[in-house]
Amino acid sequence: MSRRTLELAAEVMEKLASIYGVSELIEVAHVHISGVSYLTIGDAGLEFLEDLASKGTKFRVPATVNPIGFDLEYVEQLNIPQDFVNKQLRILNALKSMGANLILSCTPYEIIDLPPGTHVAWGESNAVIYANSILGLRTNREGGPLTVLAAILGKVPKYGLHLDEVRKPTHLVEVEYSQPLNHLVASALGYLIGELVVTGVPLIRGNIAKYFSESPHGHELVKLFLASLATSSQVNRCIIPNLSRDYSGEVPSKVVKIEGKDIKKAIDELSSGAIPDIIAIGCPHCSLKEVMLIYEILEREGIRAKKPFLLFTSRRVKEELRRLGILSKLTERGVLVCADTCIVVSPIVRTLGIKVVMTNSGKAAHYLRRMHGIDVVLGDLRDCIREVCSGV
Amino acid sequence: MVYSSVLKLQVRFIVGKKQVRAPLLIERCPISPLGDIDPKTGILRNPKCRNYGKSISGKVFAYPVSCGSTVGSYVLYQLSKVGKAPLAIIVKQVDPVLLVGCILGNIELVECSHEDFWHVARDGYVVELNPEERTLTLIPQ
Repeated sequence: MSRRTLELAAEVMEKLASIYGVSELIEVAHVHISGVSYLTIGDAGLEFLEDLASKGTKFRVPATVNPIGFDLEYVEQLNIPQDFVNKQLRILNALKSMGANLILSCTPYEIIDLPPGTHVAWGESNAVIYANSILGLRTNREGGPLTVLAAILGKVPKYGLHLDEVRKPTHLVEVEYSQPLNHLVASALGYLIGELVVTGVPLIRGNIAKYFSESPHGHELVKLFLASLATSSQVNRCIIPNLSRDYSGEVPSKVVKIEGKDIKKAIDELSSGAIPDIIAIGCPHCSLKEVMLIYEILEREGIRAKKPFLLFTSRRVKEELRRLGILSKLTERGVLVCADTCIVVSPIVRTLGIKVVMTNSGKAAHYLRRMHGIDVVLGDLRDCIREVCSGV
Repeated sequence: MVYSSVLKLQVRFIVGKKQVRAPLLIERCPISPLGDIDPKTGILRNPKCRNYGKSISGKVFAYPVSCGSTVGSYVLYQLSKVGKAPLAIIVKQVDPVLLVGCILGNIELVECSHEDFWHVARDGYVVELNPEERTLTLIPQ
């Protein structure tokens, strides 16, 4: 590997360390690289990665990779332009040649198993907040190119959430909401808490925390909640007692109160009343359990999708669905299961001329509006499935 | 409240050593470079931005803190490659996504936690950055 590449990585890490007033770099056991779709990183990102790869750069630590702009199986069906495909594949080749593990998913926490307390360098804001909040992994919200440099050097500055004192809760969030949580409320509540807290470590107590830890679908709710929270804020850790593996019981004095009407307002801000063209689930990527839940509802109620219904997941889950014989059954029900990509980082909103998307994800609602300039309807999973049955 | 006098403050120069003098574009809400800034034009497309629809290109762009996607670094790098980057970015609190974007994109990055600046600064005021003296001068127009 070129000395220059290592030097660049070391220089950036030392710069970062000096800004945060620390001298020590810490070894990381794993890196998750964000900024992989050609849609989001463009030619600048492509050149950056190819330039590193052409110098024979190799990663020193295991590194997994975020989603790209398409599922190769559906390139033609979804009208992905050839130029986009070519450039995306060049990005992947560059990462592969440096030694990346192409999981192409934003949920490394469902794929990679690391013990609590492990120091890692993750990009992808939903993965970062999940790692710190639930798994007890220690990572800051690293920028896309910084994750690549971290994989090259194997080290990052020891600041922020690598340190015990920064992991303590800063805001006690009291939510007055007694109804069961669903995907819609979890998404909106996360987004709202992010807007109110902005930076720091919120601690969630009361009914909501209990619901997260006791509901059979608590994991799915937590994923949506945390992804939305990280979207509207710089928050990278949120403590949910009974779920957060490394919470030792401190309670901060600063209190943030949220009532049902605040949640309602957040929903109204995130959701439009337009009629959806398509329904997209899987931001963050669906787990096997989530896909199975949707499959069971469709089977039980004999639903065949009348509108395009897209599920986004990892290639690992898609292969498992294929092996179980579920994938073809979902296809028969009109569901398109896409691996390796998602509605936000894929160009399909443009290539298919989509004007309105319905989703259960606050994070997707936020980025679809901003990046693609389209309308979004935010709903619970059940509302999304109901919409799938609608011919309007 | 409109200030007519010049404000000169000591600030932290995080990235870059250029002297900069340019008009200011200031936002009060957190900014996610991915999504909120068009990577090809520098136009702000977050409807919560008061300068929604205006470009940060060639300006000094100030906002309190970043939020959202880790892909933001590449957005800043892209802006720079197409010649649409701001001349400098001023934030209250630096984060790694912004920092690395500014290093790769060669964009001046300044951390200014003085409340005076955030209180007084308005769009169109001229900002002078002097890395040798480590000062930011805000000149009302």
